[in-house]
Amino acid sequence: MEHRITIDPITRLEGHGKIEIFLDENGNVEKAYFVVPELRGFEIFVKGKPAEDMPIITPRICGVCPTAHHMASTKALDDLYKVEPPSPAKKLREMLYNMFMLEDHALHVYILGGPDFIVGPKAKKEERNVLGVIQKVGLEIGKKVISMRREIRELMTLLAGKVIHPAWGVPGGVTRGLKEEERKNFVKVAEKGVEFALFTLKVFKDIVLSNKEYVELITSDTYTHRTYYMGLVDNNKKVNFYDGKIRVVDPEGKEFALFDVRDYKDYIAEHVENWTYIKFPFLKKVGWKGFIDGKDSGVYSVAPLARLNASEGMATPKAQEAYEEFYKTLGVKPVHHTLANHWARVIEMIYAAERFLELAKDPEITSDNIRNISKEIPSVGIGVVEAPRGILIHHYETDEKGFITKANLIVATQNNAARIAMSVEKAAKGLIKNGKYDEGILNMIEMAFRAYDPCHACGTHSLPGNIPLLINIRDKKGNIIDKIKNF
Amino acid sequence: MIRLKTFEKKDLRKKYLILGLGNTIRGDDGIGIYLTKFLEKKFLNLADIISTEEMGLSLIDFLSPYEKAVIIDSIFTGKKDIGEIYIFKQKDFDSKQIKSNHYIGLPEIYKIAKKLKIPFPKELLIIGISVEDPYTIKPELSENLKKKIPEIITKIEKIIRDFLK
Repeated sequence: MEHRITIDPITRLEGHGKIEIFLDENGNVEKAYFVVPELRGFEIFVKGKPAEDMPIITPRICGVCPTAHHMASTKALDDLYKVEPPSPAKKLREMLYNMFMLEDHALHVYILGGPDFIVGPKAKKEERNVLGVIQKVGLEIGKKVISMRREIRELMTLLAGKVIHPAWGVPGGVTRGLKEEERKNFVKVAEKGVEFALFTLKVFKDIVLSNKEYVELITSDTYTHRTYYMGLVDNNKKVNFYDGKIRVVDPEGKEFALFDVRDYKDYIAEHVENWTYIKFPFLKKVGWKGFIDGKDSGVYSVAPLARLNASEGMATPKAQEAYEEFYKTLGVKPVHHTLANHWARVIEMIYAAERFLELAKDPEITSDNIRNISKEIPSVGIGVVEAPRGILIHHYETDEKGFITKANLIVATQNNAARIAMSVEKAAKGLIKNGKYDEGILNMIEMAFRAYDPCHACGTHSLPGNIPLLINIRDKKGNIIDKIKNF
Repeated sequence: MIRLKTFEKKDLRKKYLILGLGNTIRGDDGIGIYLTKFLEKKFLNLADIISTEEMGLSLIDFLSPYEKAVIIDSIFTGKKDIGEIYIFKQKDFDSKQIKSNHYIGLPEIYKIAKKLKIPFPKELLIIGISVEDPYTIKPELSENLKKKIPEIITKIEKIIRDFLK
């Protein structure tokens, strides 16, 4: 974790949300890009390390999504060593993973993204934060959010050793099972979780959906992009965070692809731009046509809204009810409104809590049969999970002794990078006319990208706690003519 | 994470906490954790010493039981002042408005705890160590920062002793 304080001139820009806006001759926006800071040196750092260290190393890239990296990495090792975990181990992994999703989504709904709606998109900036949320929903609810997260994290620590850096998943299983005497506490917390998630939906309906202005904002063109959607689905094409096939639907909602993660290179390619180290994944079979919407453009989206769009429902009853209501209310599937991610995230909280409860009650969950041992020679391993922010792929290649020769990670924010850039561009185009612009751009852009919950894969935060956002305004030739920043 | 037994046992818990933060595979970002290891020997009888790679809201759980707490973390200024020590106190938070809600930092944690009446140290001292490169993934500190370690330890030991008096 690192604090950034305002010192001008800032000489280094990694760790900032950086936006590059290119103007045309008339001072109108030609292009705008949202630059996600890259992880320098990761591939070099892991080269030569034993593959089984990867589930320990990769969660430490970032303090936001460690469990997602741990699980994607563990599943890549199953594949690398060609070993199928026993059923109880898979259930334990899936239970822990749903606990994490519930906790992480709760953080976003109440603390990160929620203030835009719970407090209000036009509320004063100094009120539009977690304290404003507490003020609006009441102190008791604030306490509930804190205690719910704490209880889940304590159970995750019990099972996986640590919350932030689990040392639990191993090729073919897990290192520790669940004891029968521990189960009842898991069931109790899961029951609370279901209640909490349903309450969250009620808060969302009462405060957001009953407000005509908010609904208009959610459905406004400024925050709408008609792209492809990608998500992990089970055998019934229902949303699954831990396992399944990757399904892609086109902007009209028709199934475009359904594939195993091992074949991801047949479906996903990466486009390179000269202004950023970040590669933009796109659908290979459609092709890269630029940062544009529509069926002919290979841009796709991941994250909660994409998962709902790319599936045919939720695998648990209350989440399914909420899913049906979501599409009935918005009247169309797929939903293309970026800000609907907030609503989709609440629906996913319900699913995560219900699935956590189902698995905590499962008779197999306390079995001792938690690991199979591999006898295979490793070469290539690929694993996927749904991180809270979308599809996360870990791809490792090793020598015959299992030492890493190559590693490739496609993280959720990268999968969303092109669409986030489009959202930023739309906001910029709406606000910059004939070379005139103001700082209102910051708020519109922040709302556009916050819905995706992008993970700046570093512990950067600043005093007084805002994500440092720097906007470079460039002329036709690429020269910086102005900067807008919030730090 | 260093988690001393005293932290687990309420009756053995001390009144003061020294908390090292950082990420040890992101180069200089791990400085807070690195320093905690040295401070453990020096303050063992006076404070509980914990280091963690956690952040954000979960820090409430670490800080909550203590009367006074010292947090050590890296700070990136963009200036060539590697090893420089920056000190922040609770009162610095009071004057800060929370501008955005994407990220939860210490000022927000303090305000949330206050608002929800969650116990929180009466006094908080944040020691920021200016670093050179907290971005590259590598398991060690930069050479320039390594050279400064003895000097940093001498300075912060004095600062912490004065604070915990």
